[in-house]
Amino acid sequence: MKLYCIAVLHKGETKVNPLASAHELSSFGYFQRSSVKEFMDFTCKIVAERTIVGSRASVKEQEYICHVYVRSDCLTGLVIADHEYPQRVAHTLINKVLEEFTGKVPKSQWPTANSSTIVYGGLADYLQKYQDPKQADSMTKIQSELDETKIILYDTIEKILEREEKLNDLVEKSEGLSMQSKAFYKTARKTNSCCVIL
Amino acid sequence: MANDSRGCRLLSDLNSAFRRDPEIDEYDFLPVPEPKHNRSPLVLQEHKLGIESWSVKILFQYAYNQLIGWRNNTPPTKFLDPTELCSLTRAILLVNADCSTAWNTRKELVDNGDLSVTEDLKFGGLVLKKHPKSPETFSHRKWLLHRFIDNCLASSIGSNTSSGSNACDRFVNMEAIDLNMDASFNGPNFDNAPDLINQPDYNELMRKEMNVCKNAADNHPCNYNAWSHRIWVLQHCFNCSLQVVYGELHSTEGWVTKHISDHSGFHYRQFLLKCLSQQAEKLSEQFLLNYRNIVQKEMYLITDLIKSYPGHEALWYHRRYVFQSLCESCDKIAMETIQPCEKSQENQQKKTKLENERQVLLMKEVDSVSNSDLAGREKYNQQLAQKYLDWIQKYCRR
Repeated sequence: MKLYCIAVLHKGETKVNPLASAHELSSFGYFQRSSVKEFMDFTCKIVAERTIVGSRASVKEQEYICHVYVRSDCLTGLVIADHEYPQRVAHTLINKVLEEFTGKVPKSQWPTANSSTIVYGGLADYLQKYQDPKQADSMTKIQSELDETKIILYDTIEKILEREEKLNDLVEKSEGLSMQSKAFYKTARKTNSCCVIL
Repeated sequence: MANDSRGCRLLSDLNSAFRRDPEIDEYDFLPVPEPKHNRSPLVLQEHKLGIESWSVKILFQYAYNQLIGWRNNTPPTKFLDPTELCSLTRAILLVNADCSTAWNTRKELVDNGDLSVTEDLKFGGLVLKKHPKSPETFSHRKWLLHRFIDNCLASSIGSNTSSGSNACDRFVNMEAIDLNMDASFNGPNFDNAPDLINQPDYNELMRKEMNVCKNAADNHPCNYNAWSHRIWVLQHCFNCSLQVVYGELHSTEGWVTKHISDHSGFHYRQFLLKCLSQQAEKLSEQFLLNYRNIVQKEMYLITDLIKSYPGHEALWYHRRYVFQSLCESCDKIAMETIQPCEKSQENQQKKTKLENERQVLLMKEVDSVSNSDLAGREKYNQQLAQKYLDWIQKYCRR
């Protein structure tokens, strides 16, 4: 039961702006960590881009699930976890993070700021604290806090892409992925190995 | 062949890396399909070894051909000294952990005294980091551990028996259970041998072995081979000592709580419970622990996990085992408390008492599941709960 990543982004009219993120990479191989991190950021961006404002979703891909909530003010929170991590806790965590972020970083900065210009360090703590869902909050409290917005479930990341889009192409075109990461991706796809990266 | 000289050089690079850093604890293949520069494809950082993927096949084929050539004695005058054999087999196994020939060559090296058991165990641990399920690796470890146990026994026969500390194991503080406490090692092969478990070397090695199993289980979901090996160690190296078994029950609770869909983890706990049940008398006499309470505690654990994390099949299956154990334990107690009297009356009494106890247990369980899980929000969990109830009806009709 693991949490791998929490991220906050702003979903603008034309582009998505990453604002803050934290990653837990210790369960990955030493040489894969930087690529895994890049892929998580890549995934967050892709998912945020394709999620409608005001909606919640959980996107499965192999053994990972990316949970997302795009608030009506376009502030977007994402959590990447494994399939054991309870969905409701992930979404509650997103709520908490967005709330706190809103309090600390003024709205005017959201469309243009980035992690080096804003001052928000809360994500790493949340990531640690919520590794164990039972310790972070009492379960019953969590279940009642969440509003009744339906969480749309997608079986694979391909399901959220446009009809003509292919994940391979998006990976190839991505500027956020280094050559090594793209190479890792190609190798993983070829050998169909699980537990590498998204 | 050009590849031969490249292979030879790659092997030599690999050997240098291990010489430079004997504490390498992890390795991986880096996705570099073509050699891009004229440098070595090996990267060594913080005890982690990276091997560029283009070189893997060349290295493997070279090492493998060398080893097989030597074994087949082709060319006839080929001689390889133990160090070379060690490095060849190392290169082969890092790539293909299930190459029996390589492992068997290493067995010969151990037998000849050219490779120590601890050194080979350490190497196997490294291999498992990349190949956490490898059956041949685990099989080789069993062989090594057997060797280790034989050596321990051989060196201790004739020396003084243990320090008479068995006197204190009457009342043991189970709260602080750890493997340093005394235990009577009462397996059939160890009749006149001193307390093996308490020898620090033995203890240390076995602790490490349990840790290797745990890491392999962490690295791959439902790692049956790792958990089976762990069971094997309990049986063959600890002789299912009650202290160790109970300690394992305690220490794996956290693990299964964090891996709720791992069937193998729960299966391990079922094995532990079975061990305890088989030694229930000794458990209560020597350690003042009641087996039934332990099973009840497991029941609380599993129902709590199901409540917190609905919809995981492994949890429901474990619940079946625990409930069954609870019933059997109840039956046993019911049988024991029956008043002695005439045969036919006794049988009738037994039957009634058993049925009553069972009925109560059954009803409580059915109620509990119906109220919390059948009524819950999670659809898949409801299905699992219903299947569980169906199973209970069938089971208790036996």
